[in-house]
Amino acid sequence: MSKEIKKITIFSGINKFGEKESFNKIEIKSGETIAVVGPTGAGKSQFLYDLERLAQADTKSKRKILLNDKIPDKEWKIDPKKKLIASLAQSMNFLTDLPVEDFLKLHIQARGKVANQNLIKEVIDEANQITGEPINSKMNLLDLSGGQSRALMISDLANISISPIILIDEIENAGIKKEQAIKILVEEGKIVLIATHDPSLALNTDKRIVINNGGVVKIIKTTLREKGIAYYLNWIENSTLEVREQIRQGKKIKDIKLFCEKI
Amino acid sequence: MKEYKVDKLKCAGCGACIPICPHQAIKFDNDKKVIIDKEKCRQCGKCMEVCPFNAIKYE
Repeated sequence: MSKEIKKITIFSGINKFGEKESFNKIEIKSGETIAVVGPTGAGKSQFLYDLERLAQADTKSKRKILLNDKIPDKEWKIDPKKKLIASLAQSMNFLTDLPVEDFLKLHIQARGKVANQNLIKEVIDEANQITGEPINSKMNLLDLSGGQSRALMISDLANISISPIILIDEIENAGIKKEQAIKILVEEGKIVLIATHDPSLALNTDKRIVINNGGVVKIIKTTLREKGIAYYLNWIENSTLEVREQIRQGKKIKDIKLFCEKI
Repeated sequence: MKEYKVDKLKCAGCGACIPICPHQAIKFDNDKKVIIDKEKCRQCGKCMEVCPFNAIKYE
């Protein structure tokens, strides 16, 4: 199904004063990453909610969402097997008392795929590219740290979930390599929308939608320079993450990688 | 003739320009700053545009 959604179109609604938003429509194509930015309480979550609900002028913003230029089927909202949109929020945690391996096996089977060891290994390997604290297949889900849980959820979304659209709300403090997380999702052709205050995350996208007073006020295409700045910020953050992990493991810190050695 | 050059005092060695270059003309030098291979450079200017530190000059 991932391949079926080629385009999302958002038709403008109104802001909290009842004024029309400053755009007619926004088109988002498969493989694009969009940041949703703006002050706290500006309406970022409402924007993601409209997408999740596939709003048809039936939410307070009055926005309308089309998929592939058509009004989406109602069954997409209801049937979890056809779940079009997957969400990931800071506060989410696994509540299942199972080893990682067994959970992944169950999830793969529930999605109607064959749960072979290769796929399970791939999900764990990709999760380990996102977190600095390695996950192994025998660990219990309840014992995973916040960063490990988030990494596993993202890898699960990329590799197992069939949802072509991923909405992410505030993952900045999760202790994960964010740009790697986004890369893994985008490589699978997903459309990714991220509500964030994080500069490196916001600049590591194709466009950013600026929201204030409940309405979209601006849509900015990310410049090459901004991508360069995001690259540099990510580089610093990953160095920080590495030192943090060494501290966690009780090691002494001898040096910091001041220069990026390879890409 | 004008060419793209790296100002080593400004280059932080972050490497943002390396994956952007369509001709793989940029690599790390021994001093861990970047260097542009003049033979491979086709003067597209993307490196200058992407550099967060304005360390690449066209002169």
